[in-house]
Amino acid sequence: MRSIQKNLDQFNAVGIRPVAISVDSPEESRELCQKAGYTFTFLSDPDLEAIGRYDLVHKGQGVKGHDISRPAEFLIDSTGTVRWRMLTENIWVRARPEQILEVAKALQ
Amino acid sequence: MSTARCQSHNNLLCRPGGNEKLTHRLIELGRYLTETIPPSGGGNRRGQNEYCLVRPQNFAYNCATLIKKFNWPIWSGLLVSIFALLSYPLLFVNWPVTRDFPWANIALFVVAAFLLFVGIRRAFAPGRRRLSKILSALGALLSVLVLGMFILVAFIGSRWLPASTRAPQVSQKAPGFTLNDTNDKPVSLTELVLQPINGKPAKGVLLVFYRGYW
Repeated sequence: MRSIQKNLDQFNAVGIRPVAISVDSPEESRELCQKAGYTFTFLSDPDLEAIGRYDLVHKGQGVKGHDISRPAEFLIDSTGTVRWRMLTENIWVRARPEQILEVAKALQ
Repeated sequence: MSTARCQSHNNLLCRPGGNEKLTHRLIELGRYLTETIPPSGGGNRRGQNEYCLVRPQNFAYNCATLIKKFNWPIWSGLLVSIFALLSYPLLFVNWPVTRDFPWANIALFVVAAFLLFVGIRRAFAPGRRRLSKILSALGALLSVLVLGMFILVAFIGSRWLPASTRAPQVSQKAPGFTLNDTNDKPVSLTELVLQPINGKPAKGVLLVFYRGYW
């Protein structure tokens, strides 16, 4: 998330809108954005609507034992088609912005 | 315990009229503690000085000896290993190079292992007290536990992830959704894809699903 914020201008320059999604409430996300200085869109999915449809539910991993999302990234083009994705096998390993920008530049 | 002897010591423990029995015990304890320590300089004869723990010049000498005897490689090794564990989630996750594979933390654990090896050798060298051996072994054991926790956090627990076999594949249609943003305003995937960015038509959306801060 930090690396996306750092490269936000580059993402916007190639016409890509980063969107973060988690089970956090809008208030919690708002607090996070203010504290960390994130200026891109954050969506709240407490009922696992999108997280469930993308098959990313990680059962019982929240602090209160509730279900959360596993980390994952999808690049979707203007026709709504998935053009690239990363389902990490290790929560410490995430996609690097250079990697995503490379793919993004190839989009029309 | 003779008063004459006490006076010759000019010792805090040996005030005339003090508790003779307690004083005697303390002096005995002092003798025990300083048994192996040669008397400090200053021209004092051995018999006079050997168990005067509280005398300022002896106190300094005993402190120096304790510091010298202290098995610092063991305890600094333990500290380094604790730092090696905590610095991964708190510090080294900030850079992709040290996050994708915890090189820096492994290097720190190697340093800790070296210090522990030196410390253990020192603790089990001839002439060390049993207490030193027990404490050093305990310090080393704690460090091994810290290493175990690191392996669990960095390599094992971090891979306990759902299979996500039904997650949309490349070239498949992305499932739509409508979710609230941080202003409690509902936003749909279609809107996100179509909304222009800085006045120019958007080419796409990068969905970043994350665990959240719960």
